Amino acid sequence: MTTEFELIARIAELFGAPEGVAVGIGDDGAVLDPGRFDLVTMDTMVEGVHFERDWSSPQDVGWKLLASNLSDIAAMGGGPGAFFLSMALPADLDPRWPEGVLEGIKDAAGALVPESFEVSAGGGDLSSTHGPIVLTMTLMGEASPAGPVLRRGAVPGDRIVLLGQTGLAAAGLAILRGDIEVESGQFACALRAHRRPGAQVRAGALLGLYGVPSAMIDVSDGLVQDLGHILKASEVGARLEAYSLPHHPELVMLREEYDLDILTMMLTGGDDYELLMTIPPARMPKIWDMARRHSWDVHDIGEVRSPDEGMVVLGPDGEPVAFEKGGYRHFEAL
Amino acid sequence: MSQSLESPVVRAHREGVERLWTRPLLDACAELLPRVEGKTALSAESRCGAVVTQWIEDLPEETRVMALDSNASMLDCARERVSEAQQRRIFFVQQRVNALSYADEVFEASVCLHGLVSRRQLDEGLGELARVTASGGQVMAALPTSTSFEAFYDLLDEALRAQGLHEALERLGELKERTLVDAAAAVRSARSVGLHDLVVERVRWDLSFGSGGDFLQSPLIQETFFPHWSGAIRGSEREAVLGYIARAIDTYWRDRTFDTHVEAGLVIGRRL
Repeated sequence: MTTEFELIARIAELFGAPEGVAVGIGDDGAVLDPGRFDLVTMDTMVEGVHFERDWSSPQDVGWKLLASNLSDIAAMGGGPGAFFLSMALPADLDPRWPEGVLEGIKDAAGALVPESFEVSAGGGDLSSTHGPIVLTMTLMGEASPAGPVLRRGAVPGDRIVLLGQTGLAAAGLAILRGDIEVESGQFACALRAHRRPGAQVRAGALLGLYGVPSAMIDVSDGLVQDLGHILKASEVGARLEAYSLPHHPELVMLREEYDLDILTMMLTGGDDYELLMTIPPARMPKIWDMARRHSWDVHDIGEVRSPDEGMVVLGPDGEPVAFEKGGYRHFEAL
Repeated sequence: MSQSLESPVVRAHREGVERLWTRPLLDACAELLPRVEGKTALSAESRCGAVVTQWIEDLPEETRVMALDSNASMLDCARERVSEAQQRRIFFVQQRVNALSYADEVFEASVCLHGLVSRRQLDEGLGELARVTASGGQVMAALPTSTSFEAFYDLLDEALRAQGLHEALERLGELKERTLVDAAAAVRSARSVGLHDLVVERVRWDLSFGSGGDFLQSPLIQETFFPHWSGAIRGSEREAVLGYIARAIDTYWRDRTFDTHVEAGLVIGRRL
């Protein structure tokens, strides 16, 4: 196994000293520039829970670890900065594996982070474990001067807006798990969405700068569940119009060729790392304007309602549907 | 920044409005710019960044400022002009003061020293600034008052009479009455949007133009005057009217600069 010192040296070699960190790698703790970072997020990936070495390379895992953290900062309407990485690795692990994770993080930083931000390593920690691989990343960020966008700002009358598409990562996972057998080379978008998801870094920061959303969250647990987090924090209800959700062509193909329940995937599938927000009607022209200007994939998918209405999901036929573990069904059939 | 790459609108602003309006105004009122205790402040209609770069020098290190303007070229110019240290504290966003996309009571203070030249713009702009400013925060806005450039209105009046445009003369009178702002109108506007502890300062300075053409083509004049009278005079009649005024200035101020003055009304209020 790579020693802690070797790994830290490798981190320092791969990632330059980050802005906003006065003292980074090489001391007992990092020293942050005062007043710089006001957002912190942390994500953990556990082997067997969040990834499998059988179908994800270490580069994929590193990529996803950073992407999920970036997505959290984006969902706060902020911009990302320095990260801190902790790895708990089995003693008999091939030393190339953690190296691959670092490469994946580096690749993701290059691909997902706009030039206006600098994502780099402020420090790290390595320990051995007798259990599964555990990777934890803490990412610092800067909120917009207009303030962080929280989950608790939605009010009845706000529109529910999705930036991006959901369900694709769940479809990719289903393929990788062998739930359906597909030909090699098919469904590249779905597989990539699971292995190397995107993160709406630039969009999140711009939305924060413009102060457009009243509440925002990234879709990591699934659209319905994440909307539920906003509703709970804001103490409101919602009507989610599932018929307004975008259907990725690969999802449509999966439904047509494999009879896959893509609506459930779109509503409950996790790991999409898109942005779900509520927007006051007066600010809706701004999001359409931004969508046009930045070629964003924006969808108006419902309305925030009074808390006594709870969350109502309208299915493809406009009728309310209810969810159970693993799927949904019409209320009438309950 | 390379002059050759500078867009005409940016150059016009820097050489015209900034020199003749922003700098004299800042010289007179820098002490009055709001002091911010908290983290965030708003500079609306920031143009090429002259106001925000001066303001931020007096703000606490941790305070960050959102600098808005509707013109992307102006914002690009402002980004180029701010120092490296200021870049981390000033965030430039394309947006108009009369339609801010921010939630209520987000900023600790807000300032707008450009873009408000008519009564309607003052009402809308102050309304938006007051809305997004936090309780207890200061709002500061400046605009040219109706006593600015008095000589121009005398000349305009003369030109319209000389051209036999009596209807335009009447329309102009109505337009001036409806759109130009004096101190009392500024106070009414500020009160109507919920600002208290009002202070209205009048800042006056002299300007000199080399000729009638220089005066009429000055971006400051085009920004501040034209909105007030262009609606009253038909497009087909404007050239004759402008030509008359330019010739009149060149005749009356022959061998001298055309000396006139501008007066800015500075409205400062606190949001309850």
